[in-house]
Amino acid sequence: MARHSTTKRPPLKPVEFLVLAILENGPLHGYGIVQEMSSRTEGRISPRPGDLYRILYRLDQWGLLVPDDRETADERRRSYYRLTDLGGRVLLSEAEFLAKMAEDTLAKRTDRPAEVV
Amino acid sequence: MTPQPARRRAARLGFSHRLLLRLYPKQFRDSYGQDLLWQLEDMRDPGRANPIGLWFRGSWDLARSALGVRADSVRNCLFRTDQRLWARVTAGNIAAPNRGPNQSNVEMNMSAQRTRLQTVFGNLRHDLSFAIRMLLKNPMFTAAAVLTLALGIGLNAAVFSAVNAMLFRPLPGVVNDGELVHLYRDWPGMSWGSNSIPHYQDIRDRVEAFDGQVLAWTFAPVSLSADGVNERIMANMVSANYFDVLGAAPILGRGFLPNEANDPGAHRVIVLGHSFWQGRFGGDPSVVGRTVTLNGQSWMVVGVAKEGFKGTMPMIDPPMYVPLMMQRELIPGYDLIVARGNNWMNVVGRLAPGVTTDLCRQHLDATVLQLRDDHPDHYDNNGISMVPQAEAGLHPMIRSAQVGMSALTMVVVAFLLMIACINVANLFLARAGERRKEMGIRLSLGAKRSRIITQLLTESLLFATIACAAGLILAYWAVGFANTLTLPMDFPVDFDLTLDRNVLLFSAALSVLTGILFGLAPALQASRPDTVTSLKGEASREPGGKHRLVRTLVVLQTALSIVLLISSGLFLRGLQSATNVDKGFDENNLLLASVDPGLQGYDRERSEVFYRELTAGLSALPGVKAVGFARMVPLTLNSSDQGVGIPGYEPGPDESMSIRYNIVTSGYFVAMGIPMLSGRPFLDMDDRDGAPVLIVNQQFVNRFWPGEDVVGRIVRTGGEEREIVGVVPTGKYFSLGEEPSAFMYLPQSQDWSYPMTAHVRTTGDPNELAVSVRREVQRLDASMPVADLRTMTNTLGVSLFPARLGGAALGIFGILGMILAAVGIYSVMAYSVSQRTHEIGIRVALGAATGAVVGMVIKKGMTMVGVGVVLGAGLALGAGNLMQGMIYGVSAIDPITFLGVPSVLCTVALLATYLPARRAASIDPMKALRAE
Repeated sequence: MARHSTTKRPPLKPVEFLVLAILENGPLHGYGIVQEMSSRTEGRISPRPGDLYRILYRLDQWGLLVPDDRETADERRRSYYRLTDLGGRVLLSEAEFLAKMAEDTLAKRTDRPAEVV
Repeated sequence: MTPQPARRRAARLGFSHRLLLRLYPKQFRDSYGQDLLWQLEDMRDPGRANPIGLWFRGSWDLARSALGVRADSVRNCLFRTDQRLWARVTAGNIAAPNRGPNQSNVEMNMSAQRTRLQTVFGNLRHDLSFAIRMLLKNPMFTAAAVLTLALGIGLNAAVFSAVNAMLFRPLPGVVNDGELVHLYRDWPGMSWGSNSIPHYQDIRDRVEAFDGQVLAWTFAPVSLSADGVNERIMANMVSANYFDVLGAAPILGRGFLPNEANDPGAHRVIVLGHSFWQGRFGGDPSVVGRTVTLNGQSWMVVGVAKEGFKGTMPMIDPPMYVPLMMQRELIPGYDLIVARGNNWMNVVGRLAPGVTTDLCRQHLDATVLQLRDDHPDHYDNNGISMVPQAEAGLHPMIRSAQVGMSALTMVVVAFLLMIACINVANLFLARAGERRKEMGIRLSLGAKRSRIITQLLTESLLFATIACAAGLILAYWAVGFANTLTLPMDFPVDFDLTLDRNVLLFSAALSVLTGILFGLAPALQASRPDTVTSLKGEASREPGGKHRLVRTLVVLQTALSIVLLISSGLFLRGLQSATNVDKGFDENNLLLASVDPGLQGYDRERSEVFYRELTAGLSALPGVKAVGFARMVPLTLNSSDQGVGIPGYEPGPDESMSIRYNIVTSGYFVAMGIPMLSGRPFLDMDDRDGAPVLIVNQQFVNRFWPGEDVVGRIVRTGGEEREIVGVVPTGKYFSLGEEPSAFMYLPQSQDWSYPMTAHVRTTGDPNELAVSVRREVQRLDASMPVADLRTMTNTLGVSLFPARLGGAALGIFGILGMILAAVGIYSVMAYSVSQRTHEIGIRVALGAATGAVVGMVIKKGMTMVGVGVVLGAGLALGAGNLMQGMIYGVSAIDPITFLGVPSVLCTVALLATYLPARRAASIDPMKALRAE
């Protein structure tokens, strides 16, 4: 009883997109992801730890990323997260989709004279 | 490095977070838990912020996110979001993700959980959609089942809403009514007595448990003139703190002021009840401050009670509230404010904060001891009893009757619902027979039995839910109809039945119960077919086990409806014999009309003239045979009594020497059709100056002077020695069910009463004289209100109304039960015939006569009915014994009921089996044999 079709775009929230985008540069641990996210969005998106790991777990379940053990500087063994092939492809298609939307929006904007508010 | 204590504290806090981590799914904990905790710990660095605040934020974060993760899992299952989906979206192949060495286990766990969730939700979705399809596929079946159940559930909801309104619902508009307690006085032989005003004041001022929060109220008839209309209404006469104690501040104007509790006669103010204000004054807010005429004097409206507030008695909606201190103006001729011996008030107290009912009882007992010291005459042999609001009902005296009647009615409608359930169970069983093949296939393909039972129960619960909705619509109508009923009586009765939360919860629980009740047996049965035979398509031929169950259900159903019918039959027979009982007077062709010159400001002399002229005027009307007046109309649940002393008679230790009495005029006995057994009626010479006299009934004689001639003997009562001048037969005075009791009559001229009711004996239909009687009163005084102008038969109808209502309801329920049972028998027989088409076809082909076939089918049906009738009659014997207290004048094994009811039911059942039998006999053997 498969109801979904391949043409339907499944939901990927901005914060999920952002996580995938950050991991595109290479594996990173949770704390690093938050810091990177915060700096990329000028502090606008900075999830609390619970929220962050919920997102990571969700993306993991969807097969878009996997945890990857790695030693770190202090004695703690932190998990690094790594994009899967599928994750990379999803990121790419999402980016294209968003880029097209952004392009369309900006194109309309330049067609019109700037409004005085 | 961090200082040592801070680190230890951090560890402690970390422990509680570790506990919270248990909220997450196991896979999450395994892969992400440690990282999450570390990150939380990083944020808890002591240098950064208040660690406790951080801990709280961390805990909240964990709890919220755990819930989110759980929700994500469910969502993933429902929307099937997984890597395959993403793979499809990106139109690529799924490359197996290169996971770490210990990840495959996690993945397996995950998919197991996903499958489990998917199974539960998928099954539910599947079962529901299947159930809906089954529902739509057989619209007739659905309609029959839903209607039958809806009837049962609707009746239960409606009856429960009445019980709820009477017994369970909190008092509307009253703050914390659980703190209220009702106070009564207990005398030897009489509990739940009323209170006098001085007694009330003592309770209010002395009992610490109430801290002064005690109110008193009673009904007082008043004549109201406003906007050119005169009418007599029942006002609520209340203590000045009434609205304060109940926490029900009026919506307009004010309640009564503290100083209105003092200065008797000084405050002519009234507060209107909300619905009376709406109805009589059109909801006009400017009514506050206006003057209306009450009992011939000007009173000011100072407030309007808030909507829904109806005082402390359920189902009564007082039209207005007047201050207790105005008693002399409201009930002229009596001064009850200082009379400690006149008990006529209802008293309600509010327990002070922290006071339990036990403590309150102790305080009350202590107060009684104090009062006994202060007023030894009034408190020598009595105490105070207390009833919490939740147990008060209408009045504790009739509570057991109320509860009994409610329980009986609830049991009856529960029986009806059970019969309805059995009908539907039979329908489901029949259908289960048709679906045996389907079940057989599923079972043989490896379906679990529990799975099939779940599916069938889902279906029956869906049915029950729909039936519950339909039943509530039925109940809504029934309740709406009941609310429009008005009782022909003075009291402003307002049933105000609603389908509130209690009723809705009750109905919901009931429908789940019914769903399981009628669904379980067929489900158990259907999920256990013999796989081989059902696959071979032979299921439909005499499935022995199922048939036994169907037969049992029919027997049970017949038995239940017999119990129902016999019980209601007994009740109706009791009602009939109560109506026909000898009341001691002739209620036909008797017109009643009440007047009260006292309320119009008349003094005694003027009133005497008025009554004399009215008697003469009414007697002169064409069609009037006799006219008499009495203080009280018998059998209207009113009664007054006073103590008597009989010279030479020594009462037993617990014998009450209080005798009920009525105050009447000379024409009363003739007008009522009460014959004199000996002596004479009252005469005009028995006036104020004449020797004090009284008339007693035969029971009075039997009790004090058995077998003697008593005319001329002396009775001490009301502080006077009165001579018996006549004896009348014993009648019924208070209620039809009462035992013969001693009664006495005093002449109005010697024991003055302002309010009296004219008893007018007519030659023809008394209704035709109503207009002339009113005109006659108004000829004497145009502003005199005439109340209760109706025939004696109507008035008795009022006192019989509850019993008649109960009888009518039980009768309807009984007939409904019989119809349901008949439908049940019919459908079972019809189904059985259709299943046996093949067999009957062979019989007919082999030469069975029509009569033989009809006889065979009828015999089979009637055997079940017969067993049911015998079983039901046995149960009804038990039920009759339980009901003995509620049925008057009929034996619990009344032969008419016990023979009549089963024969009616058997006749109906015979018809219900005959129709399918006819069909069986008309079976064409060729067609029947070809059908297989």
